[in-house]
Amino acid sequence: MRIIVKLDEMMVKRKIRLNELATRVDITEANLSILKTGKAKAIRFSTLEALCDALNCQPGDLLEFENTTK
Amino acid sequence: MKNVKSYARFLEVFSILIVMPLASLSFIFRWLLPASTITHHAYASDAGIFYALNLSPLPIASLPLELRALGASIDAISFGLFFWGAFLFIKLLRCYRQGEIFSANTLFLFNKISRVAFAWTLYSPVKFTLLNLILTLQNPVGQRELAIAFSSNDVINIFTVGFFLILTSLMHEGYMLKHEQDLTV
Repeated sequence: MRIIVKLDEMMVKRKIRLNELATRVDITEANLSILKTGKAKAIRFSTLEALCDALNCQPGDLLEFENTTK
Repeated sequence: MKNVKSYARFLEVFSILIVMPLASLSFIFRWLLPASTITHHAYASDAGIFYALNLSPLPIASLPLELRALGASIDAISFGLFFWGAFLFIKLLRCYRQGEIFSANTLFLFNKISRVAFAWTLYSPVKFTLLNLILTLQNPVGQRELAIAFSSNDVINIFTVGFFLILTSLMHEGYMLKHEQDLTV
């Protein structure tokens, strides 16, 4: 079971680059890259809120649950 | 963090300038200098054992070269373990001075220090037995001694090792928390 982060898909839809999104969300590009590449172990609600605000989307648009045990 | 760095710097300097030279000089004075007069009674007292036996003590200086070399090599194992532990400790302090507290490197060093301390504690009673025998081997028949002892110093060493093991576990937990925090966005 894992959580998939679909940040890159949403960034393409909203036509926004990583550095611009990092500035809007007020986190470093490195941290955003960690999230984008699926290496993050956790995300703060404040960060999720800022991402949804910047990308004008819902948390469900950014996060997807994949059941790999089936 | 500032406190950790200053304590680490002080301990590093203290270890390099005071502890290790003193330990080396102690070993040299004990075994290599002809004027050394330590006896097995004095050695046993250092180890925390009360002696009631009326044996004629034989200073190390009176030992033939072969026995002295054997004694020195047995003591050298303990000395080597101590030196290795001190070297690892200094490496750990250098990591702390660089601000590296809960990292894989510090955890690795803590593990190694625990193992060295454990080995040193296990070897301590063995060393006492062997050195006691060697220091009395040149005594007249009936005055040679083979003693097996577990002293208060050994109990203290076991507590110290136990404390180090708990510290190592705590460092591991800290490392896991830090690792998780680093990957929290």
